[in-house]
Amino acid sequence: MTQSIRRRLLPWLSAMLLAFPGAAGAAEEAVPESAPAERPSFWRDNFRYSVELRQETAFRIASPRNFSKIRQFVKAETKFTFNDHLKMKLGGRAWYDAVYDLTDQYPPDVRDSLRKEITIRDAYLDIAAPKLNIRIGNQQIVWGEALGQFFADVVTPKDLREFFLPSFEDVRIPIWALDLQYSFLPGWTLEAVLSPDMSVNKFAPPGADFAFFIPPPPPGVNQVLLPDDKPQTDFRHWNGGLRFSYLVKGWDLAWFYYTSPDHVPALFKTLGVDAAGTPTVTLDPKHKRVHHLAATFSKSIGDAAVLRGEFVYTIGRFFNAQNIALDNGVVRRDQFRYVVGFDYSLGEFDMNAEFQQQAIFGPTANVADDILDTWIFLRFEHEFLDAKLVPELIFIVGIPEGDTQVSPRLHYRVTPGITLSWGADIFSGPQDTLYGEFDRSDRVFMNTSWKF
Amino acid sequence: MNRKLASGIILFQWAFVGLCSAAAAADPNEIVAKADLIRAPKGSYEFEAAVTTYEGAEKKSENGYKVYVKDLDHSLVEFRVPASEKGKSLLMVEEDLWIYLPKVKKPVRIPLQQRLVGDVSNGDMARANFSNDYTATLKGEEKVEGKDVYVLDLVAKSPKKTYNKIRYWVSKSDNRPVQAEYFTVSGQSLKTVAFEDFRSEAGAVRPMRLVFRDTLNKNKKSVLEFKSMLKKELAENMFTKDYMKTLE
Repeated sequence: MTQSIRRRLLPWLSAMLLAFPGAAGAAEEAVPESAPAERPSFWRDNFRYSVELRQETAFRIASPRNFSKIRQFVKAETKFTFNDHLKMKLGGRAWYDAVYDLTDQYPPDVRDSLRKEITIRDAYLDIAAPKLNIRIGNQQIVWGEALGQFFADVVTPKDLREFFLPSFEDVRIPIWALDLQYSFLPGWTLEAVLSPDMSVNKFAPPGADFAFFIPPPPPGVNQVLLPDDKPQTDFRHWNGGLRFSYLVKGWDLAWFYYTSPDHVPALFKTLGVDAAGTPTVTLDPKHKRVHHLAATFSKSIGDAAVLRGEFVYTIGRFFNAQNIALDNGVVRRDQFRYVVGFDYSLGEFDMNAEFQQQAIFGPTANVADDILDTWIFLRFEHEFLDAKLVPELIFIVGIPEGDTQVSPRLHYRVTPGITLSWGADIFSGPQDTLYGEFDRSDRVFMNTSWKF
Repeated sequence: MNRKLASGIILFQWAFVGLCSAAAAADPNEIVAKADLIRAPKGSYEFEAAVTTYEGAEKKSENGYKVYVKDLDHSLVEFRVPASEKGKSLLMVEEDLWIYLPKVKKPVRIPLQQRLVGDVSNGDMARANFSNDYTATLKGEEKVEGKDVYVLDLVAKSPKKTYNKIRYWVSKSDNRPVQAEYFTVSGQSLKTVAFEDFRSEAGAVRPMRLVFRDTLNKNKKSVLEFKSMLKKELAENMFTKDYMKTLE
């Protein structure tokens, strides 16, 4: 009976379907390809390059007023895609800063450190398998969620010769490393990093605009700062860590452990007497091994806001001691640092706010460094004229010392590849605070960037 | 008697088929699902896209992208043009969105509301699927440029969708998407989109040009053009934020 009804209905159904082709299965019909296909080009599809030329000029507006940077900068990168599973990238950058030849305001050490530089940046192979990504070579490995700090960004050392003012990409120093990422379940990733690279943070020598403050010795005592030698490269000193991340109900969560020689040197002190019989303190920067345990998160709140945070507990960091005659003038303590941030977007307006805090754990009686530091970071940006004109304001304040950084900036995109930027970096506060120490390095600047 | 019976059966068949087809045609969610299949293939695929923004007749900007899509709600957008945008990428997994910025060298979580360029949102580029995200009701039928179309109201299943409400015009004859209008929660019209340039691509005839017009500023429009659409098996780990750095 069923078959009979089906036989009788089928012709009618067929007729209906022919009359109303849209009523069922209109999509995915096999149709001959009619559009002319673009001819594939091996080089267009597989080889890419990019070049950035930049001219950076800065003028110190605090006394003594003078140019503090007249830098010509070039960055070039090439990328070759062999296939879906193998890619290669090679890049480098170079600069020459004419301010060290046109003025004589800086000591020779500063000139040697900042006059010119040529470095290899990204130079790695990417190998991709269905659940595994491997990157091997010179690279930046970036962990953490914060936008205004590097607390959880513990893998890659930093070039702080210009403080944190350049872009984060320019501040980080790539390291030679093996980075494996295994996605064992959708949204769940285990990452392992192993690196023999002993690079540590770079600092500007004393006398440079952004040389970090070193407390002066007591009256009548000389102070000598030895060179910052990076740790030996041998298997015992290799850096490595594991990171586990997953996404659950919109919460992007990660935990990690990482160990390396501390990128920030501890100043080991020895007391002595120089040839003239003057008491002398010798500061010897050393990079002792530290262990970082961390957790990070980010979560969308509604459709316009994001909450983010990172919490890092560092074991075995050395700090300055009050008694410099005992234990090389350093004490070994643990440190806890965290950032909680909130981002908000409304149309062309973006805002980032972060609360940042770091604390030294353990007995504090002999610790000369601040036991607790707090900062508030605010960033505002608004796009005008279809994002051609973008004013930006960064404001950071330390609590309770009140040291501040105020950085207003204006970016103007002349063409899709050319951008002009004007701005200022104004610091204030006591000399022994993170931002106050650069009070005499306030500057205005103008940068021109051409990318192609 | 036999003739009467035969006539009765035929009449019944007509009525039955008519009812079935009417019921099928009237199912608004099915109409939207069929239109979705015309907009983009099922499963995973990749394509290149260009967005050109205009103010009046003046071209304001041109941006180029490579887009990878998997299982409706996983998409990865690689920024290719202009040079200043190279290296950026955008990942959308269900309602979660990250942008990879070469200057920061890490994926940064961003709110869903952030625009891509001009009047084109991240969702417009990365998600060609209404049936998964919206519940449809049939509001009526109209003629648009001589074509009979269904008029459908789409309401977001989740408050986190790119748009809260969409009015959608779909061709009655072939289920092709014709145009759509996007609204805010308060019911204010944001923009319209016209589906144009139907061509054969990735196994079906699809709209390869979407023209977005700003409702508040009629002078502004953004044209999203697709090309080289290709069905392709894409690895699951491509749609993780850790993969984004490999596109730089």
